[in-house]
Amino acid sequence: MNETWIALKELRENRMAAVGAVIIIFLVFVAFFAPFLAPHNPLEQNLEKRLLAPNSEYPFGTDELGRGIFSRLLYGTRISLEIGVIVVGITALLGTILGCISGYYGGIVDEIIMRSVDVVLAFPSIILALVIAGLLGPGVFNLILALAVTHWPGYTRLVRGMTLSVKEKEFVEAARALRASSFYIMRRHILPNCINPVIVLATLGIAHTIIFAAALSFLGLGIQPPTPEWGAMLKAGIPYLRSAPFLTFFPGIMIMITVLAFNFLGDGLRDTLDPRAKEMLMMRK
Amino acid sequence: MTLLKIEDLGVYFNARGRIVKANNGVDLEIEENEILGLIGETGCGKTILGRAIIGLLSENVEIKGKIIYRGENLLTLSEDKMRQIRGKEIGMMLQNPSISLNPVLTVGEQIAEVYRYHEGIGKEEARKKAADMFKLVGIDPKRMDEYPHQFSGGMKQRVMIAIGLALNPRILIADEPTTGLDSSMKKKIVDLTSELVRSRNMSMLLITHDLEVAKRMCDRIAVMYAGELFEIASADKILSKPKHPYTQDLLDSLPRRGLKPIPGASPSLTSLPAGCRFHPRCRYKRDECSEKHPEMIETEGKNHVRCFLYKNDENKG
Amino acid sequence: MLKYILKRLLLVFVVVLGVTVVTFSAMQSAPGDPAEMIAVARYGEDLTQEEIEWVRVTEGLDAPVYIQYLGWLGHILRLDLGKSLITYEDVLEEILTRFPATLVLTISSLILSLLIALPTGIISAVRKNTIVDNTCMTGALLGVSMPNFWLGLLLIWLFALSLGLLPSFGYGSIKHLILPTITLGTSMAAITTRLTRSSMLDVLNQDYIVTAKAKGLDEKTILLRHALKNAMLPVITFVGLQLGFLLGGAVIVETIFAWPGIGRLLVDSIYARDFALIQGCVLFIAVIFALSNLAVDILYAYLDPRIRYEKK
Repeated sequence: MNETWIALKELRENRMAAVGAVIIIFLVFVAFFAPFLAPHNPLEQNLEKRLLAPNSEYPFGTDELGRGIFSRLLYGTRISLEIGVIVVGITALLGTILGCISGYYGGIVDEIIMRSVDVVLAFPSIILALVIAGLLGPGVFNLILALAVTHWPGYTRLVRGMTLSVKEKEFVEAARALRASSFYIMRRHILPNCINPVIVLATLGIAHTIIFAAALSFLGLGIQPPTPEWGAMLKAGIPYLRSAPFLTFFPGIMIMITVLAFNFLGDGLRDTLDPRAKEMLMMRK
Repeated sequence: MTLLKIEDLGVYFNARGRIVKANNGVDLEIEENEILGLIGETGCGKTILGRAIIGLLSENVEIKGKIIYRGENLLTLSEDKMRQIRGKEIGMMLQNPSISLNPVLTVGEQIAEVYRYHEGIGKEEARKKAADMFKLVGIDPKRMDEYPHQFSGGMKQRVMIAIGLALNPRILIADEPTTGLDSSMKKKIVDLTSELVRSRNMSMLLITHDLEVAKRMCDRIAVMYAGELFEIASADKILSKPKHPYTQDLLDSLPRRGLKPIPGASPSLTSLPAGCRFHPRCRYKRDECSEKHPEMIETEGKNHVRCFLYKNDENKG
Repeated sequence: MLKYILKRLLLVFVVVLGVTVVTFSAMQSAPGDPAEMIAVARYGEDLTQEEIEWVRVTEGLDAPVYIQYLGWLGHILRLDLGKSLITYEDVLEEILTRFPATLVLTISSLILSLLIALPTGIISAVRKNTIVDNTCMTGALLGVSMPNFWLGLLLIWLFALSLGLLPSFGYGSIKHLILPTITLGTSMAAITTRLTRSSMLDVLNQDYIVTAKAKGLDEKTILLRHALKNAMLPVITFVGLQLGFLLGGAVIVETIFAWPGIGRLLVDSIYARDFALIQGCVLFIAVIFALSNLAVDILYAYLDPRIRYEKK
């Protein structure tokens, strides 16, 4: 009885991660091969075929300018994944370095970095991103910048905490006694200890970033039409919500599946890689 | 008279796919008016045994054998009936009072609720009874409205005693009641507990790794190693003439007797050695020790030992 | 406890000061010449360079940045957030007219989310790894992954356009409140459910729960009396942090449902590039967020006796 339960539980955890990973691999594949998979040009307008309901030629129908929604969604995968990965790449790297420095050196450096974290977290993150994106104006680069500014503190807090606890361990003391350089100690002893929780946080961070990017584009402050971005497509569909609800249906489902996949993977990884960091991760946002 | 009889108790659970044999083939009796010590190193399964008696192991363990109390097997009792046993018939003091007391309830409430729940009495009356318990264990009842974190370690341990004894149970199971206390406080707690147990004609199962404490309190002592009992004998006998090589080593490790550590480490409960569980560390090891599993045999007086050294000569002496 | 509150208060002060620096420098770094923008907003497109320079001098925009900041801070401290560059309305007045709508929306969403999350999280924890738990947790993960702007549109499509049961946008009656509240409340409920469950599981594994069982108490008493209060402590802190999530979500929900709150005001002012109004909204939201976190911290301190009666 008990054996079955534990086995089931572990299977379930791993299965979640596996399902997430499979969906993500599939999405990456779609993003790479969008030009070959898409039946139509995502940007080509065809006003004679506007707002067609899903049919054999256009599996998800056409939008207000007669473009195939299915093809646009496939290309949209590219943008969402790109933004998610780039933003998380920048923030994880930056946040980890800052957290490491903060925890390792302490003192005034720590104080400055951690108060900056507090200040960024003092704004509801979507509002900060919104204002930055709004001031800078629309566009991919500005969107990435706005998301990056709001997303680094999580990593900094996490890594700082880990650094503080690793710093006191004997092997770090020993390395210091041997006059190893600070850089060497951080790279050799501290970072390897942080890598698992950072990976978990980054995976969940991609999910978060993709929703944020779509939200900003939905508000017209991120990616602009005619680029096939899911959030922007949702916005464009609003006037036709009554007559052509499929315009809003499918982009939303794509966002949800993608975000769900990263959440699955992140949750699964968290349970297997680092149960200790669970609490710290739950408290983020 | 035997009050509680444990027969061939086995407790197994699954940790990451491996079976942990936390208790195996445990036979033990607690007599009336007796303080029985259960000693062994950390992680040998003593706490599990204590919790098995009162039915507080997590749901996914497998339990075999019988625990007979007043003619009933506690292991087959319904949860409802078991609740009537807990606290009322068998009281329990968990180890480490700083995490075993609820941090958000006042200490007074934590005793009074026992009366309110089991005796169905009002708040005021329960509070009075709790105040009496406070006096009994030597705490000023004025401090009833304080929270556990405001108490010192010794005071918290007194609260645990008060909770364990609140309903006047027949048996008190005390799990490591002296851990974390300095030696003078340890002595006070030991004396207080023995006195209260003796004066109320109760029995007690004292679970401890501290031989000094066991010596001070117990009538009989059972020695546990890697989930098995190795020796059961009267306290005098075990301390003056230990039979099992492990008991001898354990006594030699006491500060008074030279602080000699036992070589090697206790085996993990997931991968136990074949034969006698102690043989890799035993200085009297013979061939059969690693091949056959020794049975518990009765020696003189109602004492028992699980070792091949005694199978011929002193058997049934 | 007083020491704890003072410490928090000091932190809030430092953070709000930081917030003003960030807000001010964000506006400074926005592309374009602020003097020109103000002048355009006031006098129209047809401007001479002298007129722009005149605005620059009268508005103090020629002073060094830190002087400008201090001047601006002085105004803020006197609760003067300036005037809208477009409508010329007083910014603070505009914000205060809009704020009640946001307050109604966030509070009703908070209540809805707690009504869903607390029972679900607790039941999930108590019935861990059963079908009930797995269903609730899958639902919660779906909720976390569902973008609320999409959920809002789906709700409008279903309840307003298809079934015609509820208004799709606007403000005024309870009926208008339902869809925005569901949109904002469910995503928050999903996150809170997960936290409640893990917090409850953590508490149920504590030794004091075993003590309670050893007393012979029944499951209900143990859950309600011994576990719940402990499990709620981290949930309260978390809900405090989530108020920011609600304020942020309100921006999107208010935009979808044409809800005349401060979130929509912010989005509109961003569209219009009305810097004074943007600045005012952001500052106001950050201060509200900081103060509500402070309130939650104080509540926490009150509920946790380990802080309330700090050992001297």
